[in-house]
Amino acid sequence: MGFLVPAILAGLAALGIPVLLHLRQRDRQRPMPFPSLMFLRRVPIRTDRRRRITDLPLLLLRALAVALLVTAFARPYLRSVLPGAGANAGLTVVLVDRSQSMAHDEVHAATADSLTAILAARPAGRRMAIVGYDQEAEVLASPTTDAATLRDAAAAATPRAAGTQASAGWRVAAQLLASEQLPGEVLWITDGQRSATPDDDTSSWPTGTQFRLVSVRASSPDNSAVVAVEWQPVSSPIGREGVIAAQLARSGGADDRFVTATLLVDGRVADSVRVTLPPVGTVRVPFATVALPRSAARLAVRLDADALPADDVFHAVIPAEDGMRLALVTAAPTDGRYLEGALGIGRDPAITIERVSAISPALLARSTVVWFHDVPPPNGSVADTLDAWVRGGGGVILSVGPRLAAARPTLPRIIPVDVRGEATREGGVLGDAALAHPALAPFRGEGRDPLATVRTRRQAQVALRDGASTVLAFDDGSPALVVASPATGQVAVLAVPVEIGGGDFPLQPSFLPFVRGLATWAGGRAADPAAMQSGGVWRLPAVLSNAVVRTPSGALPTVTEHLIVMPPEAGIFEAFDGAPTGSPVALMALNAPAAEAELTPAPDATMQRASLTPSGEAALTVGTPSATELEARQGAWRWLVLLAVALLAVEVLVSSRGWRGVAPTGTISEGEAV
Amino acid sequence: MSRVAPTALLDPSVLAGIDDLALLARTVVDGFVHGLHRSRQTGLSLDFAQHRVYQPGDDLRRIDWRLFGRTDRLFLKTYEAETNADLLVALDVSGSMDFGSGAMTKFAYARAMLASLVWLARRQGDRVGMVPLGGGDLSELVPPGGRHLPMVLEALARLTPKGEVRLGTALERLASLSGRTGVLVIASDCYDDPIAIQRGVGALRARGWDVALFHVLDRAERDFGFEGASTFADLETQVRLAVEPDDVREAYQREVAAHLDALSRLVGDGGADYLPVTTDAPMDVALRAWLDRRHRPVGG
Repeated sequence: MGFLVPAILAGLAALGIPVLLHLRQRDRQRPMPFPSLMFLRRVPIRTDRRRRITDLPLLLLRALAVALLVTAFARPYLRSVLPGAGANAGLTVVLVDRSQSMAHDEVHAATADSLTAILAARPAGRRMAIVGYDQEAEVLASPTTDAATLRDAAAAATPRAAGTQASAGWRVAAQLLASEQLPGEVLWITDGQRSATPDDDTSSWPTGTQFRLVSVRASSPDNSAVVAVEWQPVSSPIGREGVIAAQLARSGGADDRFVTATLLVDGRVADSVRVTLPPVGTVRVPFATVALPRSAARLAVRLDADALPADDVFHAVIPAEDGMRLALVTAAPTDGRYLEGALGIGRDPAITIERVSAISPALLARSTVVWFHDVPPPNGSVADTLDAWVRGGGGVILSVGPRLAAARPTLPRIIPVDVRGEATREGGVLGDAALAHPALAPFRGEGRDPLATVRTRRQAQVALRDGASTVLAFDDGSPALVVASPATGQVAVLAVPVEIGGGDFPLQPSFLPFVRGLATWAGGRAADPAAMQSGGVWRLPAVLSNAVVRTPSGALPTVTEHLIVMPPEAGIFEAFDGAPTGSPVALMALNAPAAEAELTPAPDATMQRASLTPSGEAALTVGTPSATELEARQGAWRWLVLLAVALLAVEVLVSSRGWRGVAPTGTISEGEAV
Repeated sequence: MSRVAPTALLDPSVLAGIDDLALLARTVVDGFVHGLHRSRQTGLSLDFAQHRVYQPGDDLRRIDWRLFGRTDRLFLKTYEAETNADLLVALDVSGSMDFGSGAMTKFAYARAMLASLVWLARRQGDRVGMVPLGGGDLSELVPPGGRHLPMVLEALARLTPKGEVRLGTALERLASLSGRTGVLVIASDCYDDPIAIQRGVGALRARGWDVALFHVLDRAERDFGFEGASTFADLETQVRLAVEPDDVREAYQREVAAHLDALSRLVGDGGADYLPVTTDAPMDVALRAWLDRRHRPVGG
């Protein structure tokens, strides 16, 4: 026999309550000094002596009732109802999904119950291992028979702010089983998110492996989440301001849901918006314009908590308002004047422009972005320097004009396109803008796609190299803006005229945000607030000589060569130079992948198909008893509660009637009273 | 003409912090009345009181001749008299007095009250003495005397409540022993048969004592506000009794009320003053009672 919730058995300490009451009653019998009993002796009194001398049966009755109630709430069950072979069977690997979706209130409780039940049902001497996985797998308990080790490992299998890669867990579990001589079994505890189902070809289970799914799904897949935050600086004469918007997603709902989205800037509530979320879909919620500090700002957007509160908050960081240096490389001093003027307008960031005719290592060292305006980037040794500089975080923009289109030079490998010649002189319309790309972030939002109305001349024909992608095209499909991100740098090639004479684009209102957004993105100042997902790599600023990173929980993970793989912990990470005290030098936010908000489970057939052994054996048994089902199988607690209630009823009768009834009233004699 | 004393100086919860009995008594008296002890009796002294019409037989030396010159009628000048009365205070030292649910026990309250009384009396020039009610002999008795105030206070401070005392018997014994009489102020919790107490008081009055009986009660023993089944132990006899206070409270209060009523009737109607006080009441009750008694016009 075992208990689903053995911790409740600590409630047996409640048995001490009747005893304590009894002792307290005895304490109260210590004589209380009183001036004289002259009047009390004349009063007809009822002593409680008779009740006290027969307390023991009542005490036992009450204690038994308390014990039954406690035992009932501990939910006893018979071990024989659990599956599994005896102690001489192979290894049992408990595979626990600990992605963020498992933090759902119902799922989390069911997972804990299932783990408790599995550990309690483990036959004595049976070896067991526990593997937790989210985006990566971790052996929480190596194969062991030690119950304490397994309990500690089960307690550590708590959800984290990370996505789900079931195949990672499967691989580790398969490796553990492959090293065993006897076929083992896998107990897979998961909520079975549709988006987290492993690929069919990921399994390599040893033959004979018993695979059981312990499903811990929520009763409803309804879930709301904040999946993204974006911001846009607003020109203001009084200080730094910005418009912040959040993207909310909902899935699995039945009716509209009304929630409050709250924006917090540096921990203070900046704005709240009431939002109606459809049963399924996304909603973009713009907040009011908020004042921002010149330094980096910590953002958080919160929703009213639901059953999965972990994704009801999204963290982000708006970088500090620093200036950036841009080197504008032109063939003649008169070239690019219009572009120079446009880039120099505005701030956040303020762009300082240095006009040059050629680049040098010294220039690269002091620049954030190099913009080649209708001049070819250099080849040779300088190209290698430029290549290394870009891969280290620098940004290059090449605007292809008539000179380049005509010359069709061989561009260095860091440039992701080849120039194929001049385009037709016909005008074209821009379209097919990938607004999700941070370089085009200024044009996001409803009614804010003025690029679609821009009519311009096609400048040159460019062909994409590997790694390049088109984020803006002409109406005939030819690329207008091509981007690439070699290592940590950014490169963009622009085939749209940026000078007067190439069309009316430079005269459009969209021109200024376009070129500034492009330069900002190339300089590593993405218009999106800085936020990463767990498992991503945070490249710390080079100015840190001794980088130290503090996680939201205060831990100090190891930093190697200014890189840190973000641990699965939602919140704001802080980077310091030296000791983690004072103001941080850099901030980074971390959130779980948006896919974790989608709780819709995969069909059982999908899960079953994914667990085929190499021999084609259908090893997966869907519906193996979960904690919920175990609870349904054990009904003893109901009988225990009924018995306890019956005992309490008897206690009421016994304590108020029968031989333990009210003592006869009357004047008590002195001898009796002593 | 009278002014109310500062309440704080009469509050038992404040006085409970004063250990020195003399200081406590002086504090009470100073706080109560300063200057109210002037007698309304008239007699020979330097303080002129009033004129009254000459009666045959009056002392001719007291005739105001100047007034006679103006009015052609004979008037006598009368003066406020400084009388010298005997005040004997009697304190019940039974074990039952050692009970208190508030700041002071009944014994401490009664002792402070009597000490204040003798202090006040002595300030008026009266002779003061003390006798404990209880114990086997009267060795602690301090007979009334003009300079006995320190002795009285010291004797009061030495007393401790213990044992069983039958108040009626103790009063009868005191009546049989006393010679010179005056004012006798008794402080007791009166745990005795009212008839026996009345008999004792009657014996004292028959010997010429002007008796005032202060029935000192604690609010807890009067109201019996205890909760929960408890065992009560008699402070005098150590007898124990387990009762449920809620069950007996009403009957108990009836018994106490009947006892008070009987004492008021038997003692008060017999010519003595019966004054019930509770230990949470300011101490001016006793002092006012004494002044009222002291200032009864006695002639002139």
